[in-house]
Amino acid sequence: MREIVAMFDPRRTSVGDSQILTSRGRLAVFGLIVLLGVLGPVVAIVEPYWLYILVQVLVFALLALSLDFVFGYAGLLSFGHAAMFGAGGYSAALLITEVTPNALVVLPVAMLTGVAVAAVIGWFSVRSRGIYFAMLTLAFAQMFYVAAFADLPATLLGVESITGGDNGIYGIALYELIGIDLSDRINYYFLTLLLVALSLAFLVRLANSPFGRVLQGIRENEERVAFIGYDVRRYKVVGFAISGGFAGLAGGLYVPFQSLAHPQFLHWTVSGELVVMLLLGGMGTLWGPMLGAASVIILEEMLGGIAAWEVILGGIFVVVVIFAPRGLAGVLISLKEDPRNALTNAKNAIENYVRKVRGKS
Amino acid sequence: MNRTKPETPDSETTDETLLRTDDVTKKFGQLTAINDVSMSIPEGEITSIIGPNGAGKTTLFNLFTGKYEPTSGQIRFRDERIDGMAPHDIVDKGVVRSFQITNFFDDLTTRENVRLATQAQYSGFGASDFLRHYTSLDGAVDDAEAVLERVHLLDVADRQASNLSYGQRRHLEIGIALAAGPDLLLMDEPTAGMSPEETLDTVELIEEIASDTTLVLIEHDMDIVMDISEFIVVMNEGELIARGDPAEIRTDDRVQRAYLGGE
Amino acid sequence: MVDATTLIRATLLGLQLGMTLALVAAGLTLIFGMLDVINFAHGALYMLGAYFGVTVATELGSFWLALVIAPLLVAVVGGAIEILSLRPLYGRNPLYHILLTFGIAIMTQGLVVEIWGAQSLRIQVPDALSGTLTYGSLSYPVYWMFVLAVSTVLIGAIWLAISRSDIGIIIRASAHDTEMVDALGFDVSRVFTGVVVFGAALAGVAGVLLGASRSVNPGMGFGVIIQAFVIVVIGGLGSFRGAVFSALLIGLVTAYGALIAPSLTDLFMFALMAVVLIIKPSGLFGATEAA
Repeated sequence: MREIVAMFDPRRTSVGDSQILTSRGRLAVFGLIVLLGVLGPVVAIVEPYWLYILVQVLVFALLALSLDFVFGYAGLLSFGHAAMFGAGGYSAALLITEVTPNALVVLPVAMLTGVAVAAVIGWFSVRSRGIYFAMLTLAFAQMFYVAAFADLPATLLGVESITGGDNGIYGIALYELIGIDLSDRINYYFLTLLLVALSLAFLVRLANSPFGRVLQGIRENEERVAFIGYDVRRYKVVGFAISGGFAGLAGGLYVPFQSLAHPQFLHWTVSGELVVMLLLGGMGTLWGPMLGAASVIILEEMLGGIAAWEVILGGIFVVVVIFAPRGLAGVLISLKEDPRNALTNAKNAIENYVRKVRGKS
Repeated sequence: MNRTKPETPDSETTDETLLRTDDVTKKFGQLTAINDVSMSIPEGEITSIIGPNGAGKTTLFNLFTGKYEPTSGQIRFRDERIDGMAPHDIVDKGVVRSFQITNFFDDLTTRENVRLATQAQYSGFGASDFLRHYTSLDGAVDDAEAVLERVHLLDVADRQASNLSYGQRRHLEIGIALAAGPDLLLMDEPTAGMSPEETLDTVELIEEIASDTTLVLIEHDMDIVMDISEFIVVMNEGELIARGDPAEIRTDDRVQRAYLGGE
Repeated sequence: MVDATTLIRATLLGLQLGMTLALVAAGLTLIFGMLDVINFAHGALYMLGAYFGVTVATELGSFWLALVIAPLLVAVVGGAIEILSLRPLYGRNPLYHILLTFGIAIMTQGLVVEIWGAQSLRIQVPDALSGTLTYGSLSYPVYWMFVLAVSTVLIGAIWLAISRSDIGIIIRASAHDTEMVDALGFDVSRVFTGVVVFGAALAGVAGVLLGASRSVNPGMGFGVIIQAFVIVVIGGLGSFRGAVFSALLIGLVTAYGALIAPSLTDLFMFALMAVVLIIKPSGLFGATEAA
C-alpha cells in the first residue's frame, strides 16, 4: 500500500540529487531533436499542413519548458505565463512592423521583454506563496490582457493604436535572417527547432548549476534555504525572470509565424492550458512538459474535427491527474525502471482508486 | 521581577560577548512571548537556555535568526544590530540555527543536503553560478565532505535523507547548520527523542563542535545541561529569571521554584 | 459629472452583482477552507445551474420550479464530482485538485455545447417579476431587485448558520484540523461531500438567478470562476466573511468602474487584488501565514 502511494507521489520524480537528464536521457533528447530535424523536410513534402502544426508544437514546447523551470523545478506556481508569452509576441510584432524584421534584433528584444515583464511580476508576487502567488501572477497577466484588449498604451500616449485593441496586430511579416528565406516554412521550422534545442540545453544546464540547485531547494523547503543563508526572494525573482525570457522568446517565434499578435495570447486560458501541458507531461523534469505540450497540440488538432473534443480532452486530463499524477514523464520513467510490473501497477492504481472512492482508504 | 535581575546588561558586556539582547520584547497580538529580556552570550562557550514549555526559548531563537522581529529592544551580534535583518543576512553574519523538528530536504541525498548549505558561501549571482555544473564547485563539495565526516554521516552520504535513521537525521540537521559556517550555532533540542545511546553520541558531537564554535542550546535534559554548559540562562513565561554557571543555577531559589522544583 | 441617479443605480447594481458573486464565492471558499481544494470546476457548476434552469423553465414552464430544481440537480453533480474525483486525491499536493477540477471544467464546457449548443440562451423572467421600479428619475428592473433580495437572504442565512449553529462549529473545526471533526463524532468524508454539495447548490442558485438577467452561454463558467477566485483570494482563502465582504467590494468596484471606463473594469478588479495581496499576502481575512 505504502509503495503504491510512494510510487504516485508527485515529488518522486526528483529522487535523490539525480540531476535533470542523465547522460542517457541527454542522448535520447539529442536523438529526438535529430529525428525532428529529419522529419521536418519529409513532412514538408508529404503533408505541408503538418509542418505548421510542428512549428506550433515546438513553440508551445518552449513555452511549457520555460514554465516548468519555475513551476515544476522551482515550485513557483505561475498562472501568468501568458503575460510574458504575449509581451514577447507584441514586442516582436511592433518591432517588425515599425522598425526591422531582422531576427537577430527582434528575437533578443522579445526575450528581454519577457525578462522585464517577468521581473516586474515576479518582484511583486514572490512575497506571496503557493496559491496566493498563483493568483497574483494570474492577476498581473490579466491586467496585461485587459491593457492590450482595450489598447491602454495608445490611450495613455494619446495615439490612435498600439496594440490594435481586440483586433490585435495583424499582417506581420516573417523574419529576415542573413540571407535565409524564412518565409519558406521549412526554414522557419529549422530556426524554431534550433532555438528550442538551445533553450533546452541552456535550461538543463541552469537546472544543474549551483543557482538551479538553490531553486530546487526552495521548492523542497523554502524556509530552510533561507536559514542556510540564501536570499530566497532574490533567487525566486531571478529564476522567474529567466523563465520569462524564454516565454518571451516563444512569443517572438509564434507571432510572426501566425502573422498575428492578439490579446487572446495574453489571456489566462493560455496560462491554464500551459499548466495542463505541464501536468500531462510530468512537471519538474523539463523534458516531460515539452512532451505534454506536443501531446496537447496534436490532440487538439486531431480531435478538433470531432464535436466533443473538449469533453475528450478534459476527460484525458482528469484520468491523468487521478491515475498518473507524474504525467507522461512519470509513466515513461516507471516503464523504464520496472517494465515487467507495468500491468500490476496499473491494476493497483485502479484498485486504490476504487478503495478511496468507497472511503475505506 | 526587577529585583531579581542579577546585573545590568552593560556590566556583563565584555570583549567576549558574541551576541547580546537589550530589553527585547516580542508580542503576538495580546500575548507577550518574550518580555524585556536582556542577556549576553559569551564567545567560545556552551550556553544553555532552559525553562518549562512556553517559556519563550524557541521564540528567542526565532528572534536571533530573523524569523521574527522584536516588538521592542535590540539584538546585537559582534556589536552590530541584527534585529530586523533578513534571515539570510543574519546567516551571513555567522548566526545559524538547527531545528527541533528535523527540517531539511527529504528528497535529496545526505551529501546534497549538506552541499547545498556549504554552497551558500561559494555561490551568488555571478555568471559561473548559472553556467557551471553544481558538482564542479570544489570548495562547496570539499567543505561538505568535511562536515559529513564531522557529523559521522560519510557512510550514509549517498542515501536519500528521508531514509536515514532518527539519530542520523538529527545529526544531518546539525550538519546542515554547521555547513552554513556558523560562528554562533543555535541548537534547538538536539537530543530530543533520542535513545540513551544516540544521546551520548550527540553530546560528544556537541562538545566536539564547541571546540571551535560558540554554542547555544535549548535543552530539556537537565543532566546534559548541567554536564556540558558553561553558562545557563533560565527563562520562565517569557522572562529571564536567572543566569549563571551550572553550580549557581542548581542552587538558585527562583529556578528551583519555577522549574526544577516542579520535577 | 456623474449624477445621483446614476450613482444610486450603479450602487444597486454593484450590490446585486456582489451578492450573487458571493453565492459562488461562498461555496468556493468553504470548499477550500474545509477540503483544501481549489475548485476550478465551481464556475462550471454555476453554469450548469443556469442551463438546468433553462431546461426546467422551458419544460415545466415555471421559473420558480427552475429556481428550486436546478440547484438540486447541480448539487447532485457536485456530490458526484466530490466522491468520484476529489476524494481519491485527498492528501496529495493541492495543486492536483486545481488541475483535476480544471479538467472537469473543460469537460463540462464541452458537454454543455454538446447538449444545449453554443448559442446564447435565456431563462424567462416570470411576469410577477418583470417590469421596472420607478422612483423619481431612478428606474430599476424589478427582477434585479429580486435577485439582490434572494441572494442577500441566502447569504444572511448562511452567515447566521455558520456563526450560531453546530454547522459553523464543524466548519471551523475542520478548517483547522479534520481530526477535530472526527473527534466531535462526525463522519469526515460525509462532511466533505456535504460541503461540496452545498457549495454546488449555492452556485446553482446563482446560475439560475443570473441566467434570467444575463445570457446563458458556454463561456459563462470560465467567466465567473476568475472573478470568484479574485474575491476569495482578496477575502482570504477559507474565510466566509472575507468572501462576502470582498464580493461586495468587487461588485461595487465593477459597477463604479463601469461608469468611469467600461472596458477597464477587469483591470480595476485585478489591480485591487494585486494591491491587497502585496499589502496582505494572504488576503484581508486570511491566516497570517500564507499557505
